[in-house]
Amino acid sequence: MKRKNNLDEMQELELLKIEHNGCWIAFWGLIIAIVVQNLTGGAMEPRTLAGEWCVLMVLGVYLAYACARKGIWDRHIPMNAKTNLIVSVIAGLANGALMGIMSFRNYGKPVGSVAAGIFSALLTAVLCFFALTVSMRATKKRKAELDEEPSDADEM
Amino acid sequence: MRNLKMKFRRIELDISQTELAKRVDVTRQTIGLIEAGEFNPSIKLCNKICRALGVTLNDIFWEEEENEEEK
Repeated sequence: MKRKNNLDEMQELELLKIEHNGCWIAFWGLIIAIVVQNLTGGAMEPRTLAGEWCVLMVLGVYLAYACARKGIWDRHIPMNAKTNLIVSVIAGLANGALMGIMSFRNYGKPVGSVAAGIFSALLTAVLCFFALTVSMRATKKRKAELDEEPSDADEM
Repeated sequence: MRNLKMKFRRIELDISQTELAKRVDVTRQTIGLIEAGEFNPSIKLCNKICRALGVTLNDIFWEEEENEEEK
């Protein structure tokens, strides 16, 4: 049964904008919460971050899956290996810095912390690049399917 | 409700959905969804489609009152 919509077209678009903003506030808010908890020592045990982590993963997987299903990549970033590499390097550097700082705070060993940071940065960048490449291929494949011209006779 | 007027006009001009999509700078899916009546385009896009098909808004987007879908 179709539910009655109380909103007019303009209100519907406004609501979509509000929901869009809410989604990204939740996404980045969760990342900031996880980073702050890690940096302030509030996440010594993995279970203290389990809730935030699960919500972030569900949100991320949903967004990636829903976009790939509709053949959508991004508004501004082109779908190619170069941009995937740039994004992966940025993610790697950010995570490397975070892990280096955490390691130094927890163990106080500068050389070990730098090594932990470098290792984390490399691992994150490689995994991120792999995930982006797989997503990009799936999105390209789906986009090609959606772009296929249907027969006009079939649609009548 | 399906927009058969738009579809017939496109076929009349022997233009594919992909070609029309290129002319109005949208994806083929968008044209497909408009023709299937599953997406309501903005007035701006309606204008572009009308120009590409050489018709007026009335010709392909006007609906008689009894055919308008209830909200």
